[in-house]
Amino acid sequence: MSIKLKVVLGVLASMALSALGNVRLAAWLRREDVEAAARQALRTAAESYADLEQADVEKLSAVLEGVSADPSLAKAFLRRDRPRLLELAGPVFAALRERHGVTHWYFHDPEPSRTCFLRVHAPALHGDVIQRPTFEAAVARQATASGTELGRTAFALRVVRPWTRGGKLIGYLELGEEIDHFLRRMRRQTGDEFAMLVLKERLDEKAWTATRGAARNTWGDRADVVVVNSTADERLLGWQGRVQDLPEGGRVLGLDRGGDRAFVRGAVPLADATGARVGALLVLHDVTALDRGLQDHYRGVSVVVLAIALGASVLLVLLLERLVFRRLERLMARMEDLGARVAGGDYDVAPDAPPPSGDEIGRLEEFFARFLRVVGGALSDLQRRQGRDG
Amino acid sequence: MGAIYETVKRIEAAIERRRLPLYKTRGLIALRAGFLLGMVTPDTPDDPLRIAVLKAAAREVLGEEI
Repeated sequence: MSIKLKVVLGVLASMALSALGNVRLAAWLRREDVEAAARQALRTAAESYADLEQADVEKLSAVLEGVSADPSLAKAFLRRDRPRLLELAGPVFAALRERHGVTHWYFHDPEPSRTCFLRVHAPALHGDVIQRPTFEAAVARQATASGTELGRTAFALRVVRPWTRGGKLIGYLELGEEIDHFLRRMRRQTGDEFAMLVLKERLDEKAWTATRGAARNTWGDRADVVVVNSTADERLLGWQGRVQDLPEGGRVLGLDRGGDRAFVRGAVPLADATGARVGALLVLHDVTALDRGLQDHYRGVSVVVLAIALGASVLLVLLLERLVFRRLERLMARMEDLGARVAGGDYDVAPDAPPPSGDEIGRLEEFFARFLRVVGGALSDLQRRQGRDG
Repeated sequence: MGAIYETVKRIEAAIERRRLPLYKTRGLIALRAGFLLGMVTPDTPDDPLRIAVLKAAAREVLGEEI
């Protein structure tokens, strides 16, 4: 194989490798960009969840402030007149349920008993000691406390406020709401799909099953968690990881391409009012437009890179041909010609050598011309001497 | 006059007859034979091996028997 062919093959191989590397790099960048979008979707979901919670806490706090100022409620409570209190609070609760999704309203006795005096949403249940974290926090701080707490079947957002009259604590008021609507509202805001998983050990199986109604009982679908709420996209539910293993900021679970759509999935941990990890929020984010845009972008980049590699290869080969190989062939032909002439007795061939060009091949030509001059001179002297001797 | 010198002279005559460049053709034959034809004089001693090599080189370059 000639040097020329080897060099050309080497150049082509280098350019092909370079182009391949660039194509792989483009594919990797595309994956990174999609994953960045997934991480962003996770952050947005977590922020959206926190924002919704905060907004609802403020809403419930405002409602509590209003009802705590109602003297008729305070009067009935202080008189321990449960029927009257229910009579007064019932219509208000119905309106709050209708307009604001409030699902729980409690009147609690102050310390030391800390018992529930009235559940407006469940009047038959009362007299039990309240030990929930949000209530404990309000008692401890003597200020409004809030947080999401797991009941026997689902998450509820609770706000507890100390109830005072004339600067004296008379009890506590508590409002709560199921947070099922969070996911629907988050879906409306972001366009993403969501599912909420809760650790089974935190729920009551019988109570939870009872809430399913006619829907299929999915308690046994997963080993350690149950889907308590979902925006009804089954693609979300493929994750089989452990809630305890999720990092604090959540984890991107991967990219799914199905049909002409592309989705990224992620999971963020959920904690209750005490900070204990109780479940996870799964997010499905549609990245079809981004994926297509990136695909077109990097396909364009790949085509340009390949074209540049091809153009550079052709240019390099042409330059090598013109600057090296063609001149080497000329030098070889000249060396053969001048060498043969010297061997044939034409000892003065040096002036026929080309003018030196100063580059590497030119220096070789110059060296060869000097060599011919020396050899020709020596042979000429030798022949003259031989003629004299002869 | 030796046989090798005679052979050289016949080669030069063939080159002239065929109007080939003298020095280059002699050089090509010399490079194949392994010695310079210009150094062969009438007094050069004959060597059958050198004569055979010279004739073979001339045949190769000129395409004819010398």
